Amino acid sequence: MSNRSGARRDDAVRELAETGRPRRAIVNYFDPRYLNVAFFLAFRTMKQESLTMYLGVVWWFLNPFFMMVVYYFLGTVIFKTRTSNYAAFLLVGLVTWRWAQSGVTACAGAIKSNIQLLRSTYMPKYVLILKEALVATQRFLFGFAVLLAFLYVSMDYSPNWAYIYLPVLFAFQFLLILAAGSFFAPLVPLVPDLQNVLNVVLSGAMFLSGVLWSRDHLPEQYHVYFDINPLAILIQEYRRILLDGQPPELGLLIWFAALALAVLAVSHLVLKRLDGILVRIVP
Amino acid sequence: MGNDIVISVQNVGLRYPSGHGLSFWLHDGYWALKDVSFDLHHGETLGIIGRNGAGKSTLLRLLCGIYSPDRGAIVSTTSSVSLIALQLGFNRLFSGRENAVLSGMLMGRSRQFMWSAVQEIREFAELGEHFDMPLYTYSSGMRARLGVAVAIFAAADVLLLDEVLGVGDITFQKKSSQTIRSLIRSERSVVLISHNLTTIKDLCDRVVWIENGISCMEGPPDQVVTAYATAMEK
Repeated sequence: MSNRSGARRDDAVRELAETGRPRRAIVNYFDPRYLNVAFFLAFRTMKQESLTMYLGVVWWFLNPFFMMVVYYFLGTVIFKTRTSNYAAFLLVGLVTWRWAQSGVTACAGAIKSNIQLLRSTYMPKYVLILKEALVATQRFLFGFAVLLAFLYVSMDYSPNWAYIYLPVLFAFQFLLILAAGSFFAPLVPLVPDLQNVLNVVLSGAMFLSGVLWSRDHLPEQYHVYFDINPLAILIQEYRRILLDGQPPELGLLIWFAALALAVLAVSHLVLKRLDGILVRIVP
Repeated sequence: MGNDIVISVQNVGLRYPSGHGLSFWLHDGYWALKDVSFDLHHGETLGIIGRNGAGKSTLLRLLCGIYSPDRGAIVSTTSSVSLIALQLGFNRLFSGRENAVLSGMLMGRSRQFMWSAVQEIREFAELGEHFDMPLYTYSSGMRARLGVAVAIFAAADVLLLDEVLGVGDITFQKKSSQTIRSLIRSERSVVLISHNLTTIKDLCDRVVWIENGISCMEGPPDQVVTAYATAMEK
């Protein structure tokens, strides 16, 4: 013990003399305990949420249900002249889109919304980003269950064997949310306006991501804008599975997954660099 | 008292931003700590004294890793550090029980271990039925009691106590200072901030005096406390 700590101390002094860079007290940034903490926080947050509402868990089904009723009405009554399955088309896009929107927003604001906790104890900031992503995912999964029921009961889309590919799409989307969220999470405390910009951009992006229309609705020369939007492709593939009963085409998505991994890596370098500073600059 | 160093603080400086966001890099801000150095040894109780605003609480946040130093170095050989302060609370919406488990997990204990230890924590902290109520219903004394109890049962290697010893009624005060004494006998290290100089003299093995963000004196409690008290009277 004596030798080890003595050696570490000497190392630190040498490093300081050589690089002039301040060094801090973290022992292990990627300690497995932090992963457990993220899951614990996510799970308990959901539990708290179900306990503080009188209708509790029922809201996890009611919220997406009411949203779907509204859009079902929109799809069948108001837009009935377009395609006969427009309501189903719209609902699939909407439910999956909302997961991305709520997930990225919550992850981007993770440091600010958990500042009380971060001021009480040390944890790497990725813990809270992961926690927010998990909470958004849990809400989505309940919404998705309602969507499947809706498709089956009111629109005669019975379950098909292509459903086995759904977890693959879930994994892709979770990765995209985590990457985008981790990218914005350290930037939002630096430039608080970014949270507003992000909200505006995300609500606008819904119209660009093929929630309301498909690739085929676009003139040929605009297809490229569709193909550079990973979310538009994801939504298209969800529809391919749920509405057409076909396996998804993953070619482009795999490239986007690689890109997301790269963004995730860079974002975490930034997060680690700012680890002991972010807490000080959040008002 | 052993001679092994648990945390070593070397010429540490830390600044706060003058505004929010990017102003941290655009302006120099306010240097809350300018040049602080000391070592915390295994099993020792170290007192930190200084005027209001001298940077004592900031120093504790540095020691547990919440802040990183802007100058100098902090080297620690443990990540099992617990900060206990009155105005702090973990998750306001979680119950005391959940906060106890969370806090223990962050000190490196397993979730299973913490769930099995919660009953003892509840009894030690004398929280009764409040233990399952959300933390926002707690008084600051209750929160501090919970913090002390968790740190003891989760066996944190280092306890950082920010003015919490005077908390609670006389019975709990007695119990917590007894606990601190038993911690001194055990392997734990404690860093203690208190304005009560008698407490400092009673409990600490060594004292560091911080003035204007600079550690200006370090030594046996009697000497440092006397020098500090003399300086305060001027």
